[in-house]
Amino acid sequence: MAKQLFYTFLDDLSLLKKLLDDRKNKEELWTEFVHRFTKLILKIAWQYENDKEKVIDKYLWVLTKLSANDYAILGKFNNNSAKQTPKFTTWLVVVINNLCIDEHRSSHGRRRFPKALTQMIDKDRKVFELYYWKNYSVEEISHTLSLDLNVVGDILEKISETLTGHRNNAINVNKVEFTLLNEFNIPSDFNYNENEFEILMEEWISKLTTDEQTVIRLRFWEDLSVKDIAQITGFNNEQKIYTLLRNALNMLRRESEADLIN
Amino acid sequence: MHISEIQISLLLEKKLSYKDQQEVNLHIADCPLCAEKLASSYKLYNSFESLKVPKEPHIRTTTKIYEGVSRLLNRVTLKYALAGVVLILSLVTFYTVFEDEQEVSKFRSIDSEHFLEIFEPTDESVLKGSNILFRWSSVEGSIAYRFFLYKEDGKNLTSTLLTDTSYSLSNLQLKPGNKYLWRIEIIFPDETKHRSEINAFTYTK
Ligand SMILES: [Zn+2]
Repeated sequence: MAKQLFYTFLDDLSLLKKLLDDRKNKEELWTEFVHRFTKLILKIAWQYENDKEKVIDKYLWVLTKLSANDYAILGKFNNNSAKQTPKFTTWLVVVINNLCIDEHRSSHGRRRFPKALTQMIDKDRKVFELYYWKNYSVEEISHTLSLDLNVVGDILEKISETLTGHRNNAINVNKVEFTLLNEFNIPSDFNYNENEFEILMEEWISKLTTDEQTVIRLRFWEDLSVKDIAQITGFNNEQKIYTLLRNALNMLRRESEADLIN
Repeated sequence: MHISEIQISLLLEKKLSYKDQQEVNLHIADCPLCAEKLASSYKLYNSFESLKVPKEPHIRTTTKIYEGVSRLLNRVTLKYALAGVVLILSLVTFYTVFEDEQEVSKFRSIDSEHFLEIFEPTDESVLKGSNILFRWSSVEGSIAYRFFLYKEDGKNLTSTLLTDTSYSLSNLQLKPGNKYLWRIEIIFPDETKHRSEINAFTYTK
């Protein structure tokens, strides 16, 4: 038990090194590892499950993955050949999250449509079309769709928030983003075949520059805000992201018009 | 080659070299898998401190852990995992790390995306007027809804296909003093359907 106490004083890296090298005390070292990172694992598990029992299952599953083949996954941190080294906890979060994504993909299939698009197919989409494309007033929309004024207001705010990732953005900037749906030119009654539509979308997207593709994917498939995209791509310039989006959307409009309207 | 976890971690910590950043950008332009992993890690990393683990001091959790443990027990290679889990129980870690139950609902949940919420009328309402408005939440990924109205004996009165998340029912069909039941069916692009709970209302003059 004294040894156990000693292990609690090791920093993360020393604990990891000992766990990978010290053949004799593996059991105690793994115990300390599990104890130390339980909260971290549970936080991630809650992102993928909303039922307490499933979370526990996921937690145990993560532990079995991490300990399998003599901690092979954890060993990868030590064999890192990059010049820089991230913090162990950052890396562990990424590793566990990737495990969960792979698992989720294999059991649920991959996501094939942009989040921004699937979220808009229904009432929100109608409000969006009337407001941004037919320039209806909030009152007119309320009347046309027999919705309460407040409901229309809430929807407009929600759309703005969903698509920009933050509140109260200037409308003219939003408009660029809202055009995605129009670029794809999907009539509201269009009964699409997912496979055909996906192939079409990939074809349109393949005609963009790589920077535009990167930005379009992060914005509309991964639902990241322009601010986040500026950071994640290292461009650190929101105006540049908007320009890329605008150019990409113009191109997509031309491509989709040619394919869908004829 | 996909983007390694080390690369993602360095990017999150803003330690990625210019050249490596260019490579990452180039790769996610046509690798949806890495784009998803990167975006997901980014969101998680930036909110990690504020994420809470719900409180669950309930006996069923403990039972579940024991079930998990006995499953692990059957696999010799996993005995270390088992030792860890057992010790955790003895350290009562679970009781100290579960914090705020109320926080759960705000978490993204993949399975709860198909959940439909009834806005109005609430269950067991008493309603009057010439028109009754039914409203419910939009469901991500759905393409249409079907509104069902039943008499109390279960006989179907109306079934209407809608793309809206509301339906206005004229009272012509309703008799004052009678109770009615209704539900929404959610229709997905692959033609799978989910049905909401049945709600009731009573119509009066
Ligand atoms: Zn990849």
